[in-house]
Amino acid sequence: MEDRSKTISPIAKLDLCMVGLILPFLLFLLHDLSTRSGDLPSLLTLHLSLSQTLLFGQSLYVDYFDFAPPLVFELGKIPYLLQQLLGGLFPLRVELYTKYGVFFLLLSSFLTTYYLFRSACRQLASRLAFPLPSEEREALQKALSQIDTSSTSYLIALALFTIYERLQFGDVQFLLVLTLTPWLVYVWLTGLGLGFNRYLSIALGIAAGIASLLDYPFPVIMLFCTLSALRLNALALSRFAFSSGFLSLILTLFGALLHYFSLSEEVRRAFEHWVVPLKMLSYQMFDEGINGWDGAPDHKEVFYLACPALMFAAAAARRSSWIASLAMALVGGMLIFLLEKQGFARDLVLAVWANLALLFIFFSSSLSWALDVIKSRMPSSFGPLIFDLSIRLTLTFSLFFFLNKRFEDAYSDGINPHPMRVIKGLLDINLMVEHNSKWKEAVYILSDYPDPAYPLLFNLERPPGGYLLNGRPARILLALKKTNELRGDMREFYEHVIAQTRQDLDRKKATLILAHGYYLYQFLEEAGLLNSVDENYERIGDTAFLTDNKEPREYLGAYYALTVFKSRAAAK
Amino acid sequence: MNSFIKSKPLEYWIVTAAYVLVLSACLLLALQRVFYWTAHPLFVCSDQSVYLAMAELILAGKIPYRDFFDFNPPLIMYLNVVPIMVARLFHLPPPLALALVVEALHAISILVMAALLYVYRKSVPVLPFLPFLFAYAYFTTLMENDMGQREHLFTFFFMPYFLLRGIRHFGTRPSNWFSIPIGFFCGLLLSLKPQFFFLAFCAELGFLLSSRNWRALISFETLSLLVAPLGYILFFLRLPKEALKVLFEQALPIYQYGTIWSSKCFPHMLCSYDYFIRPFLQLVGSLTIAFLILPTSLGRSRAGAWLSPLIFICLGAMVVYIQGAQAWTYRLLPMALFAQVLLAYEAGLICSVPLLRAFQMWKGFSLLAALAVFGGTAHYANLCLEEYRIVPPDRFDINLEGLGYSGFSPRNDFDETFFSMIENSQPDEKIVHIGSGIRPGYPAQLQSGRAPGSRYLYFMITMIRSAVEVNPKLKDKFAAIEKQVVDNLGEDILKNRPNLVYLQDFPVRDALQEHHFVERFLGNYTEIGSVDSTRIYRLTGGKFNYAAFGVWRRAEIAMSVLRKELTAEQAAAKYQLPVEVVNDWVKRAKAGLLRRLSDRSLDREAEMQKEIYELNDRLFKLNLEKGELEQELFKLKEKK
Repeated sequence: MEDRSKTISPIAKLDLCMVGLILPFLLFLLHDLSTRSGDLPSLLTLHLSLSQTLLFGQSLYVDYFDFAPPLVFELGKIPYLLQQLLGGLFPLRVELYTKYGVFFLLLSSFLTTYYLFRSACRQLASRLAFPLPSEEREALQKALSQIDTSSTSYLIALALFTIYERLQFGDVQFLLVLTLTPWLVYVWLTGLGLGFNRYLSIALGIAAGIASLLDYPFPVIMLFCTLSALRLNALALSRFAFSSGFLSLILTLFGALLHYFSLSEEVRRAFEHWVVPLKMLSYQMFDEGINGWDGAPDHKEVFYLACPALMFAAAAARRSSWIASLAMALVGGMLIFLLEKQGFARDLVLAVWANLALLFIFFSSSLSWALDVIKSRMPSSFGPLIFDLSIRLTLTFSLFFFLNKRFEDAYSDGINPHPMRVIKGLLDINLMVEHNSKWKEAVYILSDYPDPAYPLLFNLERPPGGYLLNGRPARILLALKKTNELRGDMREFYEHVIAQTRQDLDRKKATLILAHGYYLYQFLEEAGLLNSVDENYERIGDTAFLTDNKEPREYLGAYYALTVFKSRAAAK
Repeated sequence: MNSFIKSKPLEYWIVTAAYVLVLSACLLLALQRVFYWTAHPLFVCSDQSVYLAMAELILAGKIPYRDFFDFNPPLIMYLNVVPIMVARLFHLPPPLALALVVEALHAISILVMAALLYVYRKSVPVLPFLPFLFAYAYFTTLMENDMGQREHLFTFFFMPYFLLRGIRHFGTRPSNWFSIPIGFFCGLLLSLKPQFFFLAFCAELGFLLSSRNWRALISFETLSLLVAPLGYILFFLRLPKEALKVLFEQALPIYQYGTIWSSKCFPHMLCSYDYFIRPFLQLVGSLTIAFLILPTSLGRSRAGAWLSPLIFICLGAMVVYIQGAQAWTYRLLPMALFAQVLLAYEAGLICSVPLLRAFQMWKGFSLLAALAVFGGTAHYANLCLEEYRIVPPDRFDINLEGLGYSGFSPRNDFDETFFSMIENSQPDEKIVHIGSGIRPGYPAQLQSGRAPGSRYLYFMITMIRSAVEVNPKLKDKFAAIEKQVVDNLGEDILKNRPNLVYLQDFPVRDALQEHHFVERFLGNYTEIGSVDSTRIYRLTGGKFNYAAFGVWRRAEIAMSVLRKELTAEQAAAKYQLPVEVVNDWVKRAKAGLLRRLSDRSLDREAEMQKEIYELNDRLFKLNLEKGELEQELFKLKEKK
């Protein structure tokens, strides 16, 4: 009979993990978030900037363009609203409100997952004390064993993921991960017949509903992960279908639909006829500039790690639908990368999390197996326990320090870049914008990808100075024009882009304009907008987005300089 | 015989008949593609053409690396001896022989797998493996550029080996008649590239984790698998020292550091073109379905146990592709195949549930289903054959008579370099092509039947320069290698006197000019033109001004030799020409006379076709301009 004094119960392990590892980690992170600035991800700051304009009465997609669905910008308004509400008590920058908001979500994710595992342990233990059909007993025992070996690893994986993707803190995929972490556990355990606190389940369902609408592939990923966790089993499906979490998910989706219909017709039309078709086109078109070995960021390591992670999942999924759902999340992450066709780090956030979770669980399971073998040979000894703890702690802390160092290096390079390749004689874009524009003056950075513009303009509090916050549509429209397929909705959108841009140029809305690379310059030229630029702006030189193509400064295509134009009035 | 038939129940004959029908459909699907290759007898891609050329050199007694240069291990060169021998035996063009040998291997592979499925049908879930077999048969019918690549050949015996290992792992002991030959040939083809062993390892790991049958590790097929690689290592050690010296001191260092010049970035490798992204989307699709099935009762069934090993080889192949850092389709080939067969297996697994019920309800259903499959496949094969037979009105075919073969080959199967080789050389003359890659020198040189004039069938100076860029510390070492290979190439030209030397412009020419290559080694050559961004030099015995002799003048001189009024040397002396030039004109005049008297006007057709293409291009551009002007006009009218 097993000597219980030589083992730690799953609940005790969870408690120890939360208190001994997660809590200190969260405190460390909170301190780091509070003391560091300018570290928000590119797309998040773009969305925040755009959300701010919406609060001042601008129309989404009509006055400014981005690919994200409308819900993203509703969430982006929250930090500003909080600042308005609480600014008197807590005079903080929007950046900090955003970080604390995301931190709150991270904390909730940890606590919810911890609660789910803890409650599940109690419920499983009490159910197993009663007679059960053999199949059900086997399933519950497996679940308990799974939680015993893997729950702490799962929580640690989330912590390590946060450090790994520290520069994507708050990005849409990051938020999806924060939701999926407890959601997959919830679905899995609900499918086994366990029940959880109703209010927590409702909150989780709401979070899942919102997260699934933050990007176009998310609903499909959420659906397949959920189905996978339920083993496509009729009983599990029906248990889940009647759970508070599922019902609140459905209601949230319904609420989101109602919210969508409450948007003005102009905005809805722009979304349906411009944004969505453009995004679908973007999924189909590959940028020819992404060619040579340095034409895009290199994140091969994610796919290399996906190999053992998915192999482990393939071996374990027959016994655990929770593992299968994590594997599904990893496959979903790979799908997003293939759809986006760019290679940015932000396209692989979900894949990184699923990799870490699977590999950590694999490691934990292997260690538990090794421990059982040792215990069988040394039954009355604390040795195996110490062995287990020391291996886990060593790996966890080593990875933590390694990933934190990686983040520190990347962060300092983002603020003060020292790339190996430098375009001689050119200032970095940070300095160019800082020296040639003032606080609250609009700046327009036209680039095929938003990274040169954001978070720079957000950090320097320069409002957007033109329609295309994300310059990707220019390349797509140019391609359609070349192949004589610029008609219908896309033609209309093209005319709108030109009209808006011309208007902004004629009004000298932006103090500074920076045009990056071949596509944008050609777009301006072919649309006849260079005349407006020449009339109202003077070229003051070139600048460079200095980078070695690593986070947080990633680029696509060739290492072009940006041409800089300054408003003639401002130049005087 | 009658008693044998009567001894088996009717159900047995129905199932057997159904199986034979399905297998026939599979073979029909695979073999209809042979007709495509007979309609494209000279189509071959660059890599395969160079291996065929090397095989010809091996048959002529040459030793790899010592007598001709290559980066690759020699097994592929020796394996290509088989299609060369087939070509010589049946008087076929080598590319067609290669295609036919590959198709034969493909058919054998399908038959072996079908035999395994039939013999061990009690322990193997046959139903899901039927779509698997179809997907496998279908895959090769899509091959064009990668037909006969090492990755392609590897799949022919890896897939039967995979099936055999699964049978072994899941509790059945296959006969040695299967185990030993399958293991041996699989080992032989694994030896083509070291990374193929990783795929075999992935398969083994997948089976082990599914079956937990550790005893299956030691078996006849795993032991016979090792025979070929061990033999290969021994063969390697027996290569002459000069050959090993070139391999280890030149080829491998250049390859290790120099392939970056053609490397692509990671997103390009996965997403750039349809032929890259489609296999990855298939991989994602197959993994999605797998992780939906695995936790279910279907996933836990005997048939579901095969999913893990299939997933393992997909993922292993993905890693092998990514590790190569090159966006070359053939490197993606194993992953593409494994993803497709996994999808097919999953489809079979899902459909097997209702199908088995149907078979149990009515025994004749299997025969009906098999007939439907056969009918559908026959219809598809017929459509394919019709497509192969269609000759579009704007397609020009090249008559192969001039190359010593019968039949035609579509013009699109050739690069322009091929036509320039045909026009400017005779079948017994040698050619040297100096470019940055294998193409267009090969396949043009193989297709035209011109022998190589140097040990370097392709040149690698751009790789050497890239190697220095990547590792500046080894600059001196690579500079020495570069000097040596340039000198070797030059010496080959001086010694073998190839009739034509093709020298690519940027970047090769500029790199060679640092060694004064043209001055040192092409003194006997005169530039006669250019093709595919490459200058053509003809052997003229010295620098010669072709422009000084118009066509009629040349005809006069050539005819004087042909009429035996003068010998070539006398004509050369009389008109103050290099004798090589006179000989060349005489040969061309003779060949031209014969060609023109055969009532053929292909060259003129080709010129006309080129003119049509150019005019179409101009028309397209003018139409675009017209479209833009119309739009501007429309805008102006709106403003008014």
